[in-house]
Amino acid sequence: MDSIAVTYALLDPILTIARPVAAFTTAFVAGVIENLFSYRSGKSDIPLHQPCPVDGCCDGTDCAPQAHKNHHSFAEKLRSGVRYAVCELWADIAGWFFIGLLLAGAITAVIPEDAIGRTVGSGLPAMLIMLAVGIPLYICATASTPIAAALILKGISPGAALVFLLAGPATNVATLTVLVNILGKRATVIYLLAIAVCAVLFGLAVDQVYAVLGISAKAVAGKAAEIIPAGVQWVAAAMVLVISVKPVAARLCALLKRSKPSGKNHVAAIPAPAKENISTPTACSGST
Amino acid sequence: MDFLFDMLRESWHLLLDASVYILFGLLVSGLFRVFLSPDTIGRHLGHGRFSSVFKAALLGVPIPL
Repeated sequence: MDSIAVTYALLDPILTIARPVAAFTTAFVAGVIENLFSYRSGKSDIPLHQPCPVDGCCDGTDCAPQAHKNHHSFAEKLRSGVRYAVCELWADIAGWFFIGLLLAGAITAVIPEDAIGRTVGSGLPAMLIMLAVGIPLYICATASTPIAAALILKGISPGAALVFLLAGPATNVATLTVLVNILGKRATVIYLLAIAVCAVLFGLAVDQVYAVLGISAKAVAGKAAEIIPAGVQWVAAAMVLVISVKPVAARLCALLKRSKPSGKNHVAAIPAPAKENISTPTACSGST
Repeated sequence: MDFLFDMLRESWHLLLDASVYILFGLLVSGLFRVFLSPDTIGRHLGHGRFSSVFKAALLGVPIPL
């Protein structure tokens, strides 16, 4: 949801629609192929873990959802929803988002105007390069968006950018090793192929859409943000910074604590943080 | 030095563009979390060869990972 909103802000409406549709189709194709190869019928009886999402007042085993419905007032639920968004969701994304933001800034500052466009801006070669970059890269959907925006402004085709947006978050070296362990080599190869083929097909299709409509992605990228008054943008940016201070600091501390003097630098530590336990702040300044 | 300054300026512009939408996305995600019960989700995703994948993929789209 977050990345969809950011896509709308930094890219354009066509990609905002294409991205979730393509992500959905890719996931569906990969899942169905996976199920065709290895499906065990019969009902799964994995017990549902459903603690109360508001304050964990019960763990859902003795307390039916129907009965629990009336435990909390609307205001309490709203408050808890905002707390979750700020203290857990954004806390998880914030560090990566700022890395993406800085990378995007670096791309914009370093690569000369139209340098990519003149060499490998569009077509199949550009998409294959985006696949090669996106598949091993550890990046989340929200963080990949500013990078895609920077690439588009440098002249890459929107289809190639979409390939990056799809392949970047869907896979990385860490998830691939985990997949090999859990699903096995064959399933992992199927998964990778499904993602690669779908991403490239969608990339080519999106380029066609732009060509047919006669739209230049470079010209329309980021237009959605222009309707927002500068004052509102500044207030929102300040709010985002305020809610980011704590999680980013916590992540930095964790990184510093873990890297040993002999270790390389934190590039080596980046693929691991999935298992990292950032303590969730109990009191959160951002939501009050 | 110039490079660093350029980079930070570009990043700041992107942040200004994205912030309002980030806050909006976070708010909607938070509301999903509180007002959609996992029971509903479990009932739809537990079984089935195609339908479960279809629904799971549909559901996964707005999840910010």
